[in-house]
Amino acid sequence: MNGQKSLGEVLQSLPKQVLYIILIVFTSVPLFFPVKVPNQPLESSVDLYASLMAVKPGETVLFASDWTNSTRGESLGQFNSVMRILMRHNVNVVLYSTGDAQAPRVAQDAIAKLNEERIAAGQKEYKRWENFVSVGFFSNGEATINGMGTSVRSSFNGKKDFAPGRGLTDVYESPILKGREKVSDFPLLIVVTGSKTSNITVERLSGKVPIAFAVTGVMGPETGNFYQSQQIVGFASGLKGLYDLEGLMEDGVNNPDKSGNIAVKSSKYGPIPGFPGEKNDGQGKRYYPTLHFAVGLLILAVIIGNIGMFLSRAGGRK
Amino acid sequence: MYPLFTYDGIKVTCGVLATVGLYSVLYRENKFYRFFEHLFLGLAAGWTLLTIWVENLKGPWWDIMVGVPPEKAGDPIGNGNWAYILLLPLGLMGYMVFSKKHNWMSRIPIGIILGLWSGQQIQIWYNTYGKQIAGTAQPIWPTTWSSLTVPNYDKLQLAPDALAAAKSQVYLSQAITNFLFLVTVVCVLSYFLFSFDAKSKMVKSASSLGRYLLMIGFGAIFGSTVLMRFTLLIDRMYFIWIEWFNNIILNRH
Amino acid sequence: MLIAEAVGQQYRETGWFGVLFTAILVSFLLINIQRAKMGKNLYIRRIAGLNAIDEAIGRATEMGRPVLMVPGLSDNVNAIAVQAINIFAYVSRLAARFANPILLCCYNAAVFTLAQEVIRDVYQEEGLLDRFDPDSVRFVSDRQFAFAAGVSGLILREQTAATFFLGEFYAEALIFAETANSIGAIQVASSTEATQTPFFIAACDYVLIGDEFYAASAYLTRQPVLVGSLVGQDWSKLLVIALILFGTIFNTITVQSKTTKAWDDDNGVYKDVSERQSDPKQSFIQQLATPFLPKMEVERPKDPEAEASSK
Repeated sequence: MNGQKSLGEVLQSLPKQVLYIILIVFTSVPLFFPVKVPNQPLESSVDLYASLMAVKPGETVLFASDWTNSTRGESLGQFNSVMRILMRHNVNVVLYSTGDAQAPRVAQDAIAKLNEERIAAGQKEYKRWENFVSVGFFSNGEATINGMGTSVRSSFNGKKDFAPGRGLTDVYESPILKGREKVSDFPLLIVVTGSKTSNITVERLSGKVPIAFAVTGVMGPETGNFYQSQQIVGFASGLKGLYDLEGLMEDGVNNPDKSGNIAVKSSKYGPIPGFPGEKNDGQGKRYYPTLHFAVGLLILAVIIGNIGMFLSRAGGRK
Repeated sequence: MYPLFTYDGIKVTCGVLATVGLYSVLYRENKFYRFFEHLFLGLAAGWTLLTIWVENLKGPWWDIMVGVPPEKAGDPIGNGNWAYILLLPLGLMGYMVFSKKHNWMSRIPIGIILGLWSGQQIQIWYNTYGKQIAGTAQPIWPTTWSSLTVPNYDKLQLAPDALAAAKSQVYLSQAITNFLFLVTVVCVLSYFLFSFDAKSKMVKSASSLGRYLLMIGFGAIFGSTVLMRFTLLIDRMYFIWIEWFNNIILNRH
Repeated sequence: MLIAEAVGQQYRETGWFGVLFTAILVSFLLINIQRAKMGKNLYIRRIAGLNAIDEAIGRATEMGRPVLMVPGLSDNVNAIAVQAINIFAYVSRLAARFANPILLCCYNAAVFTLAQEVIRDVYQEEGLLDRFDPDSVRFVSDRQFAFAAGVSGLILREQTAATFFLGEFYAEALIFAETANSIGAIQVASSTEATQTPFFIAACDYVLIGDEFYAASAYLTRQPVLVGSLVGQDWSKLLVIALILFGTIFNTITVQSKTTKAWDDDNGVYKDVSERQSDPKQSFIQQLATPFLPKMEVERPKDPEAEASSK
C-alpha cells in the first residue's frame, strides 16, 4: 500500500469542516442576490388563503401563536403574512399561546413591527385591546385547549391584558371578545406553530370550530393527514407554504391582473382579490431562492457520496 | 449614531456572537462553545424559574387561592379559594424523592399527573383518528371510464349541471390512489402487530411490504424536515450577513 | 356555565359511534391486562432492536466509557416517558452489574424525579447501591435547545460509548444523534414522533420504529399491564383494519350504485336532481364517524358556476 487514497475514498472522506464551509457559502451568498422563483401554490395554501379572506371584517378570530425565535426562519414569516391579511381585512385577533412562555412576547414584537410598517404606509394602526388582545401563555396546553372546547371564557378566566388608560384588565372586557363564549362563536381558529400544538388543537377542537394552520416543514407531512381527512380547512407548511402565501397575497385567486391574466386558478373558488401594490414580500421571498441552492448542494453531495461508495466498493472487489 | 452602538446594534451583535459560538462546535468542541453552552443553559434556568412562578404558580394557583385585590375603586374584591391550599402538599410530595425514607410519596403526584394525561388520551383518540379512519375508506373502483384521470374542468367548459356531475365521479386515477392508500395503511398496521407469530406467507409479506412503505414515508418526512433545517440555517445566515453585517456594521439599509 | 351543561359534553359531541368505538378499544386493553395478570403467558415476538441494547452496553463496558440515556422531551410525566424509563431501568441493571458508569439526562423536573427513583431502585435491587452515583441522573434544562446544547456538550466531554435516545424527540433529535455519531458511539434510538424517526434511522445504529418502542418495554419488563396493553393494542389494530376494509368495500359499492343511477354517462348530465343534493363521496362510514357534527366549512367565496347549478 502506498497510502494514497482512491478517488472513491477521497469522495467519501471529505472533511466535515470543508462540507460545513461549502454549506455556509451556499446558504449565504444567494441571500445577497434575490431572484424570483416561479411557483404554483399548493391547494392547501390556497385553502388557507381563502379561509383567511373569508372572515368578515369586524369579526374576531382565535389565533394561537406558538412559535419563538427558535423557528424564526419559518414561523415569523408565516405569522407576518397571516397577520397582514387579517389586519388589511380589518379582522380582530385574540392571541394566546400554549407552546412556549416566550411566544406571546415574540408575537407582540412582531405585531409592533407590522404596525410600524402600516403607519409608514399611511394605514391605520392595529391597536391593542381594540383590534387584538394578548391573552398570554397557558402552561398546560392540553388541558387549556380541551377546556376551550367547552367554554373559551372559562379557559381565559383570570387572564389580563393592557387596556388603554386602565392598565391590566380582564381580557373579556375587551370589545372584541364581547358575546364570544364558546369556541364555535369564532369563525376561525388559526395556529401558527413551531411545535406540535397544531396536533393538540386538532385532537381537542376539530369539529367544533374551523381550524387553519401554518406549521413548520417538519410538521407538514403530519398536518397533511388532518387536511386530507378535512379536520382542518387549510394549512401552509414551511417555507414553501409561506412563499405560496406571499404569492397569493400579491395575485389573489382566480383574480385577473391588468392584462387579464389569471396567475392562480382554482376550480373550488370564485375570484378572491389579492393586495397588489402593498408590502406582501417577506421572509418567503428572501429565503426561498437560497433554499434552492442549499437543496441543490444536498442533492450533489448525495450523488458524490454514492459515486464514492460505488467506486470504493468496485475497487475493493478487484 | 453609528448603529453598532445603539441598543438594537448591541443586541444583534450579542446574538451574532452567540450564534457563531454555538456553531463553532462544528469545528470541534472548544472553550468558546462551552462558554455559550453554559450561558445558554444559565439563561434558560433563570427564565424557567421565572416562568414557573409567573405562569404556573402565580396566576393559576396563588392569585386564585388568596384572591385578587381590587384594581380600582369600586371593583369587587376577588374572593380567595382556600381549597387550592390542598394542592400545596401534593406538589411538595414531589420533593420527597430526596428523602431516602419517604421517597415513595413522590409517586403520588406523578401518578395523578399520569392519570390525568391518560384520561385525556382516551377522550381525544376518536376525535383524532375517527375521521382519518373514515377518510381511508374511499371507493377503490371507478364510477366512470369516460376519462381515466380527473379532467381539467376549465378546459371542458361544461354546463353547470354537467360540471357538478363530472366533479362527483370517481376516476380511475383516483381509484388507484385510494387503493394504494388502503394497501399502505393496512400493510403498515400489520407491521406493528407484535402478539402474533405470523406464519402465513400473506401476513409476512404484508408486514415486510409495510416496512418498505414506512421507509418511503420516512424518506418523504426526511426531505420535508431537511428543508426546514435548511431554512433555519438560512435564517441564521440572514441574521449574520444581512441584519448584522449589512445593516449594522456596514450601516446600509 | 352550569355543571349539568358541561358534564359529558365533549363525549356527546363526538357521537355515539365514537364513544362506542373508544369503549371497545379500552375494553380490549382491560381484558388483556386482566388475562396477563391471571398468569396467562401472552406471546410477544422479540424485536431485533433488543439485541442492539445488549450489544451497546457490552461495547461500553469493553471501552470503560459511560452509557448515556435520554428519556425524551416529554413536557410532563406521561406514558411515553415512563416506558422510556422502563427500558432505561433494564439498561441500568446491566450497566450496574458490569460496573459501567451511566448518565441519564432529563428535560423535565417531574421526569427527573421519577428517573432518579427508578434508577436508584434498580441499583438497590441488584445490591449495588454503593455503585449508584446520584449525579448520574441529571436535570439539564427544560428549554429545548439549551437542553440540546447541554447534552451535546456532555456527549463530547464524557465521550460516551453507548447512547440511548428513547421517547419524545423533536428538532434536537438530529443534534444528539449526529454528535454521538461523530464520536463513534453506538446508538439505539426511538422517537414517538414520526417526523424525527427518519433522522434517527439515518444517524443511529438501531432504531425502534413507532410502536416497537412500547413493545420493547413490554418485552423487557414482562409487566402484566404493559404486556396486556400491547396485546390489547394488537386487537385494536385488527379492529381498525377490519373497519377500514369493510368501509372501503361498502363505500365502493354505494358510490357505484349512487352515481350510475344519477348520472347519464352518454350525455354527461344528471338524470335525477335529488341525487345531486347529496355528495356521493360522503360515505356511510364517514357519516357514521361524525354523525352530529355540523359541517365545518368557512364561508368562502363560492364558484359562481357551481352556485348557479345548485339553484
